[in-house]
Amino acid sequence: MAEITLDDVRKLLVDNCMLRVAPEKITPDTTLFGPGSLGLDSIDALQLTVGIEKSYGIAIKDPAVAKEAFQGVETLRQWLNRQPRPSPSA
Amino acid sequence: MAEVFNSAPHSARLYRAALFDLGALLARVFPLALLRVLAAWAGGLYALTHPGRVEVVRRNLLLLDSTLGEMNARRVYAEFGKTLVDYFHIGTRSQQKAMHFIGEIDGDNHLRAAQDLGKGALIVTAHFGLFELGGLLLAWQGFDALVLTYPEPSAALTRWRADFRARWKVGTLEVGADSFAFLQIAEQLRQGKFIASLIDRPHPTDSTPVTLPHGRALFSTGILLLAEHTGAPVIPATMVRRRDGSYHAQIFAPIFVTSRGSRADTLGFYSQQIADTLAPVLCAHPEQWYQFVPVAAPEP
Repeated sequence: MAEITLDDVRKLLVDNCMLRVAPEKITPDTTLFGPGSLGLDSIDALQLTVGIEKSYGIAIKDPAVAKEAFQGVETLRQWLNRQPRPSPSA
Repeated sequence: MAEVFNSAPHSARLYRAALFDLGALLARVFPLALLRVLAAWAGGLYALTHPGRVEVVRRNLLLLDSTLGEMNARRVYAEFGKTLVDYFHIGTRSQQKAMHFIGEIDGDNHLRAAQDLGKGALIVTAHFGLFELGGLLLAWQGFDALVLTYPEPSAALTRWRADFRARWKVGTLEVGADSFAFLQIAEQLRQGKFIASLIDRPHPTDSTPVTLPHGRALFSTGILLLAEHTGAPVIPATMVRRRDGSYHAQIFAPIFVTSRGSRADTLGFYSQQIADTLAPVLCAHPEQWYQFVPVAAPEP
């Protein structure tokens, strides 16, 4: 299964969230919520989970899991790569 | 988000837990009819001394009916005074006594049907009538009800109002402070809960224009995103005060949100469906549309 890259995560964020910074400024160290972050809000969090489910078939139901996975760009990328993904034909 | 049951943005000086305590105390001591008269008078006086706020309301009313003017806008304040009295009066009585204030209920079969689906439900209404009474109705009919609210001007008032609802066995879920609040809501829906929220106030980043009879307004869209994501039905509802002082609950047919192409198309389409459902009731009782912030959408 192909590794999810920084560009994949950038695309996920651009497609699903109301970004207040240019996508090229998103680095692995960028955080998603709170001061000095991308400034995502609760609707962005919901849309991000929807986007992840659509793109990778990974459903996030538990807010606690989302809090852990959505700490930052690199955290999210690593978390996504750790999740079992359904095969494309499934 | 689809707006929540929060307080109208009146002067923050009026929105304090201590004043709500006073309101509840007065409601326990004095006759309802007397308090209604006094509150209507106080609301009218407030309107007379706050022309800027009245102008905001007048502009909102024009979206419903182009003949409504300043007098109608002032009347909104008088009616709001009466509604606050009812809120305190009903909230300080038992569930059973409070339910006597709902004189007529239409469409509660939609609530049962939604319950049978097992996906929870999103009850949407406007800043209209005594919308908080809808929570009581849900709880009384055995639904596990939650009200979404933005933080009030003070944490003490947020707690006050949550405690007030809790007496009716209606929960409160505060959104705004928690970035993962919408995921919490989705989880509550999966548990079959009925979640009530207000839709007729624009969210800073998630709003869509809807067409009202005489103009366009911004509705917030978060609830529709939740509905699409979870499959929960969206059920528009209103709680109108009638001439005799009792309330008429109207529960409308559920709306099921499915993708209609782009996200903007989907949100626009279903927001308009909700607006089309609520608008006739608002137009019939414009004096009960307690919308104190500008909601007109900018011209395209």
